[in-house]
Amino acid sequence: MDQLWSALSLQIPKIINGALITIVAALIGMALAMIFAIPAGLGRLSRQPAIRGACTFYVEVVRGTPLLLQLFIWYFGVSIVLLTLFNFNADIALYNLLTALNSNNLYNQLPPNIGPAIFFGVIGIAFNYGAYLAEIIRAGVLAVDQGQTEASLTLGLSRFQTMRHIVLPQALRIMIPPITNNFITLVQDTAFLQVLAVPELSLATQGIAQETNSNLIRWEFFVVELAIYFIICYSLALVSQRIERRNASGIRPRRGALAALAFARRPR
Amino acid sequence: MASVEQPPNAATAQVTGLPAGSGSDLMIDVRGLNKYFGERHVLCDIDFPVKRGECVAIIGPSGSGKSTLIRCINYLETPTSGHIAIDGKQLSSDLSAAELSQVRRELGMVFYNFNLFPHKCVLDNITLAPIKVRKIPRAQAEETAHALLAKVGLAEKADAYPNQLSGGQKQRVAIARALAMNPKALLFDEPTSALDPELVSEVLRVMRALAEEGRTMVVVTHEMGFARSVADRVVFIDHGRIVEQGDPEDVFGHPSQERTRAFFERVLHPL
Repeated sequence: MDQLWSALSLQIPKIINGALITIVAALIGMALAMIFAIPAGLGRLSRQPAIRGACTFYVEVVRGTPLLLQLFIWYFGVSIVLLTLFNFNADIALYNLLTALNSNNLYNQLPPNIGPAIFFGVIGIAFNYGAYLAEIIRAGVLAVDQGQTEASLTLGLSRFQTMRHIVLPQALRIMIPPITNNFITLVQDTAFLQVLAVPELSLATQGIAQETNSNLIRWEFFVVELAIYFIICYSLALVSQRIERRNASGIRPRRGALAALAFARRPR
Repeated sequence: MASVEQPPNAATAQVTGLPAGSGSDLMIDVRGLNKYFGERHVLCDIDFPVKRGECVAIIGPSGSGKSTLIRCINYLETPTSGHIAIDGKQLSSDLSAAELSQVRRELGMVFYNFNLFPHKCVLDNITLAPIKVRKIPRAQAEETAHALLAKVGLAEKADAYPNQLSGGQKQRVAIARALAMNPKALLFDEPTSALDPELVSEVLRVMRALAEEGRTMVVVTHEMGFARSVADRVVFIDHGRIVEQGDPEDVFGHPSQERTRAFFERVLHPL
């Protein structure tokens, strides 16, 4: 036990750093994923065939290809194209972003030249999750009874007002459990960033574990990693429970709505 | 229209795009209306004019096209062909969404399954459209809403949520919600068909009071008592055609068509 603690206390800064990268990457990833998902999900319900087609293309291509491969495309493809065509420096972009988020310390702890990997890695994950979340948004909107839309339109509300005041508030409540599901797997999928050499929680722990020469201690590092992932994900679950309870007033989802949403869940 | 009692503080009917009280005495003018669902011809050459202040009951077997007709009037269903005008304003599928919304806000609609907004309390259900569409200040909209709730006998339910109400109460809130827009006409799509029998009369009484105020109403209904005693005119529809119409006493007392007679026989003497 003493041995473990002394080993841990030496390595704890590295693990904490890794956990911080994981948390920040996941939070930015979630926000960005929703920014992709909301227009894509609503766009798939559009009456304009062009909009519908474009959004369907996005969802199907992203769902139909591996996340790992997509990350390579972003990192080795998109990033190079942007750099050569527009002289876009992802490292500086990341620095500015983290400064804006008051997380400058985090940037200073990163290994050199890792900026583009984090920047495009997080975009890649968000772009991927946006497709799955778009389907949840679409399913949630469809799960709201058509009569709600009719009642709203006959009162003279516009389609936009109907979406904003009537359909989305009811859809959101139905969407919270599957969105939480996806956010939780998103946290765990930030581990994919290690293929781009980002020292997030998994990679950091592996590095430490490999330096250890005691088998007994090595696996305990992984237990620590496991505990950290669990704490992050369980906190998310608790937050979602609170939101669900707060929004509970008056609404009962239509029967069958949740079954429909099962199709939108990300298969693991 | 002088006899119409306006709800207190309701905005006077001032709507851009609609000639206020245009010359014609027809509030709703439906002519040559046809509607197909795929191959099925659900409405055949319907002529259906409704005068200002008139209360018309539409009766007929289920599947006869009654609900489709009333849903065509506010373009929830798009007619396949024909002419519809609301207070002189022509409807067509060429209308922009904004123009359509301007016509719809003048037609209150009450649905058989209420369609109250479950995430909003009763008061917010009623004030939503006046605030968002008519741009009435919230305080004034709420004052109007409380008055309307009192009128339908639910003054104490302003803060309740729809799932805390009985069916009859829900439908009375839905009527208050429609009235809050101070519409020129009210459309009722089988307003009592989803209600337990003992709750039907509380809704019918509210509707009768509205008819007696002189409101223009079109009521699709299976309540023959209401059609006979409250409506100014009864229209019997079968297989998408108007078979017979006229004064309720004449239609109920001496139906001229065999189909009408057979319908009354089944409805009034089911055993």
